[in-house]
Amino acid sequence: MITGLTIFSIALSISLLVGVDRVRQGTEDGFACALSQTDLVVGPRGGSLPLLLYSVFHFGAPSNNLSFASYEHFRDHPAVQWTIPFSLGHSHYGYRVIATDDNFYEHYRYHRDHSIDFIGGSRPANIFDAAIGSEVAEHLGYRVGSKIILNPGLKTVSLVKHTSKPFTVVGVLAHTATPVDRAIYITLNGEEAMRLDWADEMPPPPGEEVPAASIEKEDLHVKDLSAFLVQTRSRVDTLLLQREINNYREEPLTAIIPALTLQELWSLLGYADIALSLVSGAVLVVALLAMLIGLHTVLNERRREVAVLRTVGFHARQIFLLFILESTIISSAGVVLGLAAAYGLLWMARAPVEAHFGIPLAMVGISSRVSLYVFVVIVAGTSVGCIPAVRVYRNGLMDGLNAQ
Amino acid sequence: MSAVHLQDVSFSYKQNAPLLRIEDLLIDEGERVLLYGPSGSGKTTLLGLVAGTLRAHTGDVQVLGKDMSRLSPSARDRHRGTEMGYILQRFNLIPYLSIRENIALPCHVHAKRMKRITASTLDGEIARIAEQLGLDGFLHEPVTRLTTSQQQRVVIARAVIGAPRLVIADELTSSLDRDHQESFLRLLVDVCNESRSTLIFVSHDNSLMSRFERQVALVEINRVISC
Repeated sequence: MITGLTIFSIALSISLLVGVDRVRQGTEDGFACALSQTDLVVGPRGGSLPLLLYSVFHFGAPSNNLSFASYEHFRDHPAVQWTIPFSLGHSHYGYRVIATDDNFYEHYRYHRDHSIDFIGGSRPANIFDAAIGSEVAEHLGYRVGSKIILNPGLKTVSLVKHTSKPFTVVGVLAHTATPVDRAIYITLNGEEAMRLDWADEMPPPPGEEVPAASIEKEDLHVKDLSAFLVQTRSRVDTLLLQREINNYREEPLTAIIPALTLQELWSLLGYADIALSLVSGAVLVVALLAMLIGLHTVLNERRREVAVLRTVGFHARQIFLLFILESTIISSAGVVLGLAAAYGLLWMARAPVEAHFGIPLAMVGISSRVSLYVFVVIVAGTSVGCIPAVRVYRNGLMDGLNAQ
Repeated sequence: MSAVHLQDVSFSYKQNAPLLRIEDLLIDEGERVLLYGPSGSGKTTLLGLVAGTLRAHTGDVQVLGKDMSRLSPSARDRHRGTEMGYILQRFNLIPYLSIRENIALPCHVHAKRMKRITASTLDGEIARIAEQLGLDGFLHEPVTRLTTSQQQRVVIARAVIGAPRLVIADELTSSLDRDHQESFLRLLVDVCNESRSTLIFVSHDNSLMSRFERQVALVEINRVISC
């Protein structure tokens, strides 16, 4: 009973410690995996973290835009390999609508070198075509051919809708386990078409709508973007280009290196990590104390056992070892159970966490920090076992013989 | 040849409070000795010295050819395990082992005890001893199912398996009624005879005297004057 409870409390603290650590690393990996091979993220002048969060991870909204002319300037820059433009501004049942162009399907990479694949249909080519992420397709039950109505703004609930300009799903993207799954992709022209007859975020008065069928590509001119991704030709170019963009005279812009900005985010969240680790460390200390108390409680019952073992010729040293073996087995069992629980829960929580909070959680192996926890717990457990063992050893046999 | 020979032995748990001082006590091999004395007279302590769980402060404690007061603690433990069957006053069985496992314990710990069994296998030997002690049919039961007298018989079985040269029993019968005591002692003497073990039987009850060929009163040999 006491043994079971001790194992349970050690398992609890181990799974807390490991859980906190794994969630941190899982989130870091998840975030890092969402965007690969992109050297710079460029947006209007502003904070680097908000830029990264809204452009890649769909958190928050851009406060202003950058002009298409500036985009064109850097798109044609000699140091640039490719660019992917993003324009945000619409949504559909809470899912972001991202206007982009073919470069996205061509060049976007996640998990190092995975590119965007279609499980059905093809890239949006016409004005009112849309491609949807796998989660959007699954959650809203859309297929190729479904008609969807988009809302202006990024809120889940919107009073006004672009009812006169429905989009057609022409492609469904394969699952990526990145924010791409939770977005709808349209063409830059498509977004422009929705804005065509709107003014100040309000629909046109009845009778003045421009019918969707009459809109031609030639009528549409993209004026601004929310952000764009850049891959440069070399590492050196990245730094030079970043400098050049940040000092661009025509328009105030911000260029960030995504990995560095993510680092900023993690150091910001580091305090939460430390606080949680301290709490789980405290739980561990309590668990070890519980084990000490447990071992001491059964010590009295153990005296008869010790006495019998010594009459049949066990050495005091062997009995000492038995006690240590017991506490080592208890702490190891706790560790194994705790690790299993931590990884089991992580595995189960993965999909819901990604769906509800949009936090990509990668399954990660055992880090050096986890092995350190495991090592410390087992060593601490063994040393805790030494305390009753030393008592028994010192009391020798007579204690056992005379125990009444 | 002597099984136990104590010479000028003294022992005390606390300083300035001597408990035992024995000038000379000789027990020959094959003897059945009753060591009796009132409670608190140091009987269990004397057994501890013989079994090597205690160490005499002065003097020689020769047990089966070895001087217990000069051996290292682990050598004393080994000597006890291989050559002696030690029956404690209480707390004799390990509750989570079956009866068979409890009896087999000394043979698992000491290869020498294993070698001396007379049957061809350990299980055969256990069955033989169990039958003698009326324990057949219980071997695979948990020890907690047994009555007190059955438990005591399991303890005897464990003490005599592998033919130890010396069997030490501390107040073995004190928890039994008189009828049981009689039959019990007969069993103990029988199994000791069979393995030709020396028997030292300790009791506060001198009414058992007739069963033993020699009786030693501890108060008479102990030179410490108890107050």
